[in-house]
Amino acid sequence: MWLPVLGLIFGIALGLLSTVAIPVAFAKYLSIAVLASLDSLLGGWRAILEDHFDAPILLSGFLTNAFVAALLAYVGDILGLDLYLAAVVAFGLRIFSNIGFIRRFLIYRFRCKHQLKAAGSEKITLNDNEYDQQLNKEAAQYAKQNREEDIPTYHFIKNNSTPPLPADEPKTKD
Amino acid sequence: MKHPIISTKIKKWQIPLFIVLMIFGFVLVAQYRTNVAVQNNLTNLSISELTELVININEREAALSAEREQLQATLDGINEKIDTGISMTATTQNQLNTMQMITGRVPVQGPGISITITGESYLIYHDLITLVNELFVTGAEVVCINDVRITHRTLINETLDEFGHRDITIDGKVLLLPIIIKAIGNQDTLEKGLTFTGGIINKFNTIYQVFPIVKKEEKLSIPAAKVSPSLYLKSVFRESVEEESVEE
Repeated sequence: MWLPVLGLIFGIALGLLSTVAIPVAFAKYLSIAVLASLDSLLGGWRAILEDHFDAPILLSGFLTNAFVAALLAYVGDILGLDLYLAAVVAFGLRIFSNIGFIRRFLIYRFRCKHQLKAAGSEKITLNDNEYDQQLNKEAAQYAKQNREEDIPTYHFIKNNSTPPLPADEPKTKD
Repeated sequence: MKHPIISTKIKKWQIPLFIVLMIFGFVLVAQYRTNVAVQNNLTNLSISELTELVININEREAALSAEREQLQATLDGINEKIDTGISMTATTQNQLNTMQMITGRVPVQGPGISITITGESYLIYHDLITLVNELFVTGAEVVCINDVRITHRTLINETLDEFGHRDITIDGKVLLLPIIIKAIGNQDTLEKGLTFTGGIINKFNTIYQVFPIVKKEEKLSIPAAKVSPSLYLKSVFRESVEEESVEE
């Protein structure tokens, strides 16, 4: 976890120390690019949590989204259309969606661990790899389904299996 | 066997995320700075803001020019003082040089006449004193006898040697022959003052059978006098000034 944070700090420091000045005319395009980058970053975080992280996809998505968003804004300027609004809306929606996913995932994980601790099973170490992976899968599944009304009881303690998700119930939104 | 900590610490997603976050941080800061520049841009200001800005700038400009004028006046004053100081220094230096030349503290040179007295003569120290007095009277500025500068403290006297002869002394030293007297001043005046009929040279020739040779010289060099320091002298003027300042 420390390495990406270090990357952010390093990038900010680089930006502060460098004297590279971006022309004022490009400010709008750059802001769209920043939004796209933020979206890609959150997507990357989500992918990590879902355990299907792919480095080339993240990097290419990061660069392409930023570039295309800026290009879209530029083309919109030429055509006299506020095309950048499309990018803002699209990325905004995705950012909130991703944040919602990450939030639910983390809350689910935290609650499960809390329950396990409360159940008093000190024999199972909380740092166990297999347990962690299982928990992550559960959390991802949970977060995907947007289910917030109930937290499934932790079945893993009993029978070492994933909790059955009630598929027949209608899905609810936030 | 892999180290458990290392194998769990650096995961495969950390390096790409490091790169992406680094670029993101850089772009974020760049965007922030650009945005600040946009906000500070004059084209984004309203007419009232621009008017206020112009008024502020004008006020600042007026204040700065007033300050500049004040500083210029101060500078002029200082320069004037420096010039006065320089001229005062030069005047004082000139006066000091003149005083040093007059009191015999420095060697001097200039046009004048030389009087050479050779051979045995019946010259006595009184005659020498008269001659020197005559030279000063006729306008000599500096006089020396055998390279001994004549000042207000020079003593011309005589002494008896072991054979009973009278020897002329200057400041206690016996004057040897030939006696060469140098005087700086107007050559013509000096020469005429000595050699006119009935003058001192004429007296020497007729009464004492002494025949001095008077010669005009274009460039005479006269050494400095041996000046002993004044131990008891005090300037009355300076003392009175000091007393006044103490009283104040």
